[in-house]
Amino acid sequence: MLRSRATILGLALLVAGATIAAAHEKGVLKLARREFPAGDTLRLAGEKFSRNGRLTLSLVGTGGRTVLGDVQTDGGGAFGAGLLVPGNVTPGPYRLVAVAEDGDEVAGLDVAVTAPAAAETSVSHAGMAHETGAGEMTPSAQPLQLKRARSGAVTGSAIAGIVFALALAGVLLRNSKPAE
Amino acid sequence: MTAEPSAGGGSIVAERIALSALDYPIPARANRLDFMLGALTLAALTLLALSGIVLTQFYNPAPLAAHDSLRYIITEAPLVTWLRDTHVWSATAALGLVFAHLAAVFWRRGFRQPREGLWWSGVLLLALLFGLAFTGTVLRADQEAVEALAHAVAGAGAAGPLGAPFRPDFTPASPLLTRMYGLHVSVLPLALLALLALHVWLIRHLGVSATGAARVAFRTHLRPLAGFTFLLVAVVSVAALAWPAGLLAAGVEGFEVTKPYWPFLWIYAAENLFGMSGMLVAPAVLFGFLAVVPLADRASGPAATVTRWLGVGLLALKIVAIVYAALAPGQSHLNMQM
Repeated sequence: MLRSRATILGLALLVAGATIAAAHEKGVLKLARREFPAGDTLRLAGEKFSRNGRLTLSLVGTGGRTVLGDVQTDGGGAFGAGLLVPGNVTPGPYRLVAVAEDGDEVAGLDVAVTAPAAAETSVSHAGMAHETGAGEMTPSAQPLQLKRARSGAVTGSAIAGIVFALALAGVLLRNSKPAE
Repeated sequence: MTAEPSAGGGSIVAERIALSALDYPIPARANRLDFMLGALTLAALTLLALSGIVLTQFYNPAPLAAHDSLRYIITEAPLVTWLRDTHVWSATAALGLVFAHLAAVFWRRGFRQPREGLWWSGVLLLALLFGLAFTGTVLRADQEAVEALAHAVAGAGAAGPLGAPFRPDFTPASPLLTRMYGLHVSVLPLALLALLALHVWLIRHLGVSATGAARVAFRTHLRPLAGFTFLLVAVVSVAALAWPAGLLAAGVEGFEVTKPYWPFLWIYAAENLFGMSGMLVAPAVLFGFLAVVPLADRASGPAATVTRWLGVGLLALKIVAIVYAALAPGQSHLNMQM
């Protein structure tokens, strides 16, 4: 009798343990690139995490932990986010980790932070920073100051095409009979 | 009937491609610009399709790569970035022209018997154009896109089972952005083509709603139409060169700091004033009104007068809402932060 109770208790503990272990599923982090500059927005996605949960994403390096921000997983356990890597992060190797609400690390990736990129992208972030308490995320309504690709051949052809189209329009409309 | 002799006067080519089929009679008044707005919308849509086909070769619809692919287009590919600018300005032209077309047809009561189906197919085409503009905005994967997508997801939640395909958890196999790309480049254009075919078929067989007894050959319509089309191409191309389309930083979820593309500003205004319900009710009011117009305005009488001035009032309200939304300070909705 005592033995069977112990067996039941043991089974119950196993089930409970399994339930606790399943509370956080180990997820998968996906990055467009493993190397990115400080001050840039890091686009990342994740899947196979616990559904409708909150994850804190941080960079862990020799200098300590830098919180990038929190993300919310959807009903399928996935998320997609753009998180700003603060400009003051020291370049070097880091581990990007996702931590669940109870502090359990549920995913990690080895990444490298490089020196801040030249002006063009960081300009648009400046002045629009929002402190969220869980790290910096900088949504911006200002267009990026990107250096547009220009080609004399393309611009010249476009202008020639415009002149040609205007000339054709003029000829066609001039020769059209007025509506009655 | 004052139709002119057939095109090409029996030339070898004209005979073999049956150009004489273009000599069917149309009202002479149909050669005015206000009767060409629909065809000019079609010209803008053709520009959109041609530039869009090229863009599909350079755009990556994966969520992590979409923004980077646009940055690549803008910074590394001069011809493609100009085509993207042309694409954006063609969309603006198409939407502006379709609204002008709608207003013109509404004013001359082009929806009355037997053209009710013509009107309803046009209303559905308008809805599809909105869908194309919306999915096109989302594809940028920048801040405005992320906010637009958040609104779509919220709207899908309120739409019940009908909104299921617009929910991120509809399928784990394909991200929502990629599914929006599928809508933008295949589902919506195919639906647009099918409806356009019906619309043109009905125009051909029911005729336009121009008054007057004078008739001319349809062929005479093509010359001014081609003239205005070339003018449209030139204007769109100049706009693309002078005011290239921008790109915001990669989107950050949970924030609302931008305003939508201008054709959606009236919905944004309704959301500013009435919250989520405003966002859902405003389009329902517009499209609901457009749907009942042929039923409410069947013949001259008080109902016709009321319908006409209700339409004028709605158009005025929409313009005021767009101006208000453009000038008002930005607001956040759906519990997003600013």
